[in-house]
Amino acid sequence: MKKKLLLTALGLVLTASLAHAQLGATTGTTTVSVAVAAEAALTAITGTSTLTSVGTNFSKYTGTTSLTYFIRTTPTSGSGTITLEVTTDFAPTGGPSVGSPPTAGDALTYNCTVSSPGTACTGPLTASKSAWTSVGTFGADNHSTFAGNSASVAWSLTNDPLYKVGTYTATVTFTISAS
Amino acid sequence: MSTHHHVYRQCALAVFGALLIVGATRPARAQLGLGLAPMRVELRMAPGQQYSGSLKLSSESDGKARVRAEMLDFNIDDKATPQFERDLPQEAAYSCKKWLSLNPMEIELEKRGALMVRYTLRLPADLPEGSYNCAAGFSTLPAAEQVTGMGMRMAVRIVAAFYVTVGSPPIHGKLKEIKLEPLPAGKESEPAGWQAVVILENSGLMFFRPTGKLEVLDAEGKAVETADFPSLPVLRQRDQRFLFPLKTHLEVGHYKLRTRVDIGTGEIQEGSLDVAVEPTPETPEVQPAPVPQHPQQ
Repeated sequence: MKKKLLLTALGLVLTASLAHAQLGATTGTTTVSVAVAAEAALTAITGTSTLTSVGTNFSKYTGTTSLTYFIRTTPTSGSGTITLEVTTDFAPTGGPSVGSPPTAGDALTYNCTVSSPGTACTGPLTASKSAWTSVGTFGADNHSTFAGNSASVAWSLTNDPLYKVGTYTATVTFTISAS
Repeated sequence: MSTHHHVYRQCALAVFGALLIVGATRPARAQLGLGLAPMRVELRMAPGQQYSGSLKLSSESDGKARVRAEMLDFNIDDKATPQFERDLPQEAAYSCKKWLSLNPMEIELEKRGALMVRYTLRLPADLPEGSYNCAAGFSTLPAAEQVTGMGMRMAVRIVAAFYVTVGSPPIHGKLKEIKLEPLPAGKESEPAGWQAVVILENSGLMFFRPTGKLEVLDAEGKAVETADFPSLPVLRQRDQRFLFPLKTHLEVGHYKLRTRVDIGTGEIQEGSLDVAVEPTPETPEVQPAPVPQHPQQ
């Protein structure tokens, strides 16, 4: 019994000594660095937006597209932009058209809402098939929240009696960029 | 009691069935999104040099996302909006698009997945000194959902801008003009406002990013509105318009638009424009007074 206790005590002393030796080996310093880059993301909360005409006869078709943006711009020279373009015109033919409207003056226009730190476009703007138009801009050293910040586009489309009865769909592409 | 149970069960089954039908006929309104880092790459390179790096592309979409990569030209238009396009013929001489390659070009990202996209720039051996710019664009395919009635499908594109400087071209440019322009017509009942426009000329081979302010001063010289220059590049060999939509409603009186700007040379250039707001029988109208502007260097 006495021998067993002695062996156990010896074992504990050795373990303690080894542990001490290990602790001694891990002391030191190291440098951890991380490169934080300008970064952005853009989300269209729904893949489609429906335009509806409510109210008086031939009142404009209206609808909304909601976006979430994430942004981190560089402190001195950072900038960012959200733009949109009608990349595929309304189809099939016979209905509204951004590129070749049946009546001059028919247009797809929009107003923008962009939460801070972004700045919304000064609307209403007319959406185009041949040029990107502004939705919002960001300046230097802008940071969104971790969950993203909200933006939206409120659409208004002429309701021309010349449109043939039917279902018409266009594709709108939103771009987020630095420049 | 048992009859009631039976009726309830039949109602519950009917509601469940209806929900199943609605669910089957109305596709989920899926979220589409992309993220990218870094958003801007600035490189100093020698003619004939090759450089490779990577961009982290991530998906913010609800499901699998198919993404297409493109090499793009770009410029900033007269509304100060960047235009990223597959081909801008007027930019051909200053674009690095033809020396940029991306791999992969067709990408499938899992829900909330990410991928490193490798880019390589191979400069020609005889490339003259100057700054060159181009971009890498990544686009989702439009949502596959059906739109009922009139509507739009959405797609998202995210773009990284590349600036390549060859040699050490100096910055050459100047404050060229200050103007006051009407804004496009406002919402239904809102009157249109005004915007100050400052035009900077880049006559050199190197792009620059101006810093400075535009001020609206009243007749006593007190600043009634101040705005910083937006952080936009003035690409080489062109004039670039900078727009400052005015928030202040200008009452009848005399004002001065004054700008002070550093185009990157450390020298402040200053210019001003006198403006008179004159009353009209109906509504007051803003008219730039026939006073010459004074850009100074």
